[in-house]
Amino acid sequence: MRPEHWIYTLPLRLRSLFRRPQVDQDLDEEIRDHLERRTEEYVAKGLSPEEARYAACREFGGVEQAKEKCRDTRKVNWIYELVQDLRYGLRQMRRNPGFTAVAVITLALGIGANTAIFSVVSSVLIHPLPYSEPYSDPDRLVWITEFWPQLSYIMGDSTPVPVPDYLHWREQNHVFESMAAYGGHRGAVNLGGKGELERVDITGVTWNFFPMLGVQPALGRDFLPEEDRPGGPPVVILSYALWQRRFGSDPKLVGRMINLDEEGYTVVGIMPQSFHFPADRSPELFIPRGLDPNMNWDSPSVASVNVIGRLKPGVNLKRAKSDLLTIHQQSAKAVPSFARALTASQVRIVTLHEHLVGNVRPLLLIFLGAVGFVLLLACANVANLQLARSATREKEFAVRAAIGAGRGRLGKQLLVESFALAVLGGVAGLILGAGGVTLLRHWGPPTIPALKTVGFDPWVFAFIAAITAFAGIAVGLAPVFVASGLNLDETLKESRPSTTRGGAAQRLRALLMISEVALALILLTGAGLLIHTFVRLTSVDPGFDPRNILTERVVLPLGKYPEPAQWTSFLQSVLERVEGLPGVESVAAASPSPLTDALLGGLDIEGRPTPRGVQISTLISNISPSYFHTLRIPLMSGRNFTSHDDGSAPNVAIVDRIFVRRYFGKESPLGHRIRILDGSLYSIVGVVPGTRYLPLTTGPSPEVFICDVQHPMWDMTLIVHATSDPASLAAAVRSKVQEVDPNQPVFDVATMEERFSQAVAPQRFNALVLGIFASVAVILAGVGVYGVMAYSVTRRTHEIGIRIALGAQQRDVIRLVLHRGAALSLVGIVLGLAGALALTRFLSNLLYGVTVRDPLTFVAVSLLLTAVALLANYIPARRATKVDPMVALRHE
Amino acid sequence: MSKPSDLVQGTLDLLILKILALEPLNGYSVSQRLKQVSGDILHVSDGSLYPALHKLEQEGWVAAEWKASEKNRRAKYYSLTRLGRKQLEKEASNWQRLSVAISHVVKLKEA
Repeated sequence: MRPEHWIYTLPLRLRSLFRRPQVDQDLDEEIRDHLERRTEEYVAKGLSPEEARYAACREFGGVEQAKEKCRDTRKVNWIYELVQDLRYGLRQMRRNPGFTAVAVITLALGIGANTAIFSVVSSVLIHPLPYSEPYSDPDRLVWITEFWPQLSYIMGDSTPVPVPDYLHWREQNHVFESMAAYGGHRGAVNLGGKGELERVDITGVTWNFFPMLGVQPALGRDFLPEEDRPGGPPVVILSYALWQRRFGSDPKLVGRMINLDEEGYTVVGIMPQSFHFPADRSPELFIPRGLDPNMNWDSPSVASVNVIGRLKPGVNLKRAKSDLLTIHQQSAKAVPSFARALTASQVRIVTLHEHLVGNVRPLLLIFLGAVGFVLLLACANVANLQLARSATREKEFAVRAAIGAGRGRLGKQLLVESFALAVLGGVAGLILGAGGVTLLRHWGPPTIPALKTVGFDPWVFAFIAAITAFAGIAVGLAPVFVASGLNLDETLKESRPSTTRGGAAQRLRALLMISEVALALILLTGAGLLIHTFVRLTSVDPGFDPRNILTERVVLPLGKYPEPAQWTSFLQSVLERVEGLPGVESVAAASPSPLTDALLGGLDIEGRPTPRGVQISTLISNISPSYFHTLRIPLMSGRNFTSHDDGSAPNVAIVDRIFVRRYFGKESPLGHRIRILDGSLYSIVGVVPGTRYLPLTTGPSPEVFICDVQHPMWDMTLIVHATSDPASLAAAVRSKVQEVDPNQPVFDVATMEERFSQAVAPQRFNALVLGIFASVAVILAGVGVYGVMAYSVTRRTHEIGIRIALGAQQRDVIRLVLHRGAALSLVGIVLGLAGALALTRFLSNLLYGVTVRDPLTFVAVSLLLTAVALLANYIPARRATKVDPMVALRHE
Repeated sequence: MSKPSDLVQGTLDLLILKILALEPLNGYSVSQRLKQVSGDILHVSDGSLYPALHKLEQEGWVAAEWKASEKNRRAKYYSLTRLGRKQLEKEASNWQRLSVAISHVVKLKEA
């Protein structure tokens, strides 16, 4: 029935819409024709033409009303009314450019900020991983780790999986379609050949890794199963970016050899451009992992890998976890005692998506909530503006109602006007939001994954539409509310807006003001906590002086440098040369890279056995004797390493104060011996203060230093103490290294201060973003409070004038005006405090050294906002005192 | 002439549809025919007739055409559409049921 209906009525409707004058003309003609016929009828009955005409009209009734009713029957009227309302609204906006500009800018701020944040949320949290083809259920990809409770203070709550476990799981599980792993191979290699020496991230992957993710090389082929074994052929797959950057997208590269760590590898494939490695940092080279299928706990060294699995359809995480745990516990029985404690571990399984974004989800949601507050504030401000304007439009409403606009029509028009305002704000907000996204892309910390791919997608546009609609309704409700409460007769009679009428509007304004202050306070508190965290973090004492220190890392390819003696001589040559550079105070070397990496090893103190099953561990750093001097770490007792502590001398170690406090208490550790690394005994010869590791949020841990002369290092970080600007020495140091070996790239070059700055980059980002939102909120709230108070003063000008004329002093007037405003602001602040107390708990993961109810922050923030509110109240109050009573009394 | 009975809006639709079912007419003629056919009992005020006609047109139950009538005038003639015929049947049967029900109630014997 329906389509038929349209066939009949569509031409009619279109005509009513687009040929309205013609349709109206037709209507006129129809009625006129009718009247003529009626007239003729009466003439035929004997009346004179005029009388007949008169009688016909009388019989008809109200002609214009009938015509109006006919027009009302048109179904397309709503479109026509909408257009009419729109044009009227736009005209109103043009007549009040100030109001329009402020309203649009305010809404644009709110909508723009929300757009920017939501874009990030959408692309990071909402979009699934790009690994669905050809399989269609990306949630089946999971990330498997273990959790070792005893070592959680260093390793966090998930660690890579030891290979024996992985092998057992792969063979014995019942829940996985396939399992793959990646990791190993030292993380990076020197890429030689044409062009500049470069160090490139590399990882080993099992042969089924890429197929499991549903990706395959764009050029060439994947690894073959037989290539994935210990001692397998040197084949490599490149990332698209590396292929483009370093090899000029040469299509003939596949099949050729490239030089990695002075060894030749055959390129067998190039990954597609769209491929994203499922980790924060994407390696650019992939080789077969070559796991030893016979590796078990008795093997001399047990490696770990990162494991990804694809669940069988219908298997949930819980079942998979218990399956793996069962296998794990059974194999733990066959583990030798020293590693047994390490296997008292649990299994963790999360979806791969969760692994990649889970950390950042709370932060993003907090940002989204914060920016939602900003939008509410913006809407409240514009609603206030609308209220103020509505009061001056009371007459207009009354007149329109009097000539026939129903209240419904009035309300509709106001809503349309508000929507138009919101749409303008939305468009401006879209532009602002795009700018915000660009900013976030460039300045966002690396802890937010996929940040580079954030952009506007369909979800974002839908979001913009939704919040624009919300803003339109929120902002439109206020004047509609006021207009519906108007008593139209009184309004038409009154010559000026009454000071006492409009109670509902006044209440609404008061409510808006209170909520603005409260929202602003909540946001400000959140920002304050994050800022406090950032300040705390940057004032953590690292245990040494980080100024003027430059670090550069060098990793010797073992193929070219198989002998430890070569490593020692390399390091010695480099140290000598760098020491001789002008501008260098001293230089040292350390491994692993100080403050960013840590080697964790089992510890045994001679003469102090630990209870059965308990394994203590410590950080171990390998340093050159000049280390402490270079970093300006004082020696607290005992002695430093010397050149006499070489391979022929007994093993020596230096411990830090935290180590002493934990294991020796007040006793001196000097002379005691400890067992570390391969179980050899080391004599403690010195004690130094403890140093903090980056990220600074981890607690202090005991550390043992060993001497590089006794343990030559091939992966070393050069630490240079410069007399002044350390960054300027970077090139010089690199050239000295290349004097010793021209093929040796130097990488990871940064001053210590840069490292510190980078280490707190996430906290800085959080504080900055929330700080910006809070500032905008405070400004909006301040402007809102000011606006309400200023308007109130304007309304009361008459009253104030009378009071002044009767003798009120300046301070009386101020008190009069301030009284209500201050009270409302105070209520807002109290409510805001209550809200903040309730809500800041969501920030707990982001805080450091600061509790969610940090009194300092709360007090500071309350004082700040009180001051702002008082100022916003005071300015109009002051203006009120300037009222000239003569003018006010005449004021209409 | 006795006072015309008040007509409920819905029944006006029914009457107009039925009259137009017999032949296409313009508005004036509809009013005349209604008076005629009902023996002068049913009157429609012109002020209600035209809105009703227009409404029927908007609903698609009648279609309108401008035709040259006698005396060289242009007049708008309404005719029933197929949809309108279906609507007419529906309304007619509704009316039938309604009037039967009312008759039953009215015929009830007083106790």
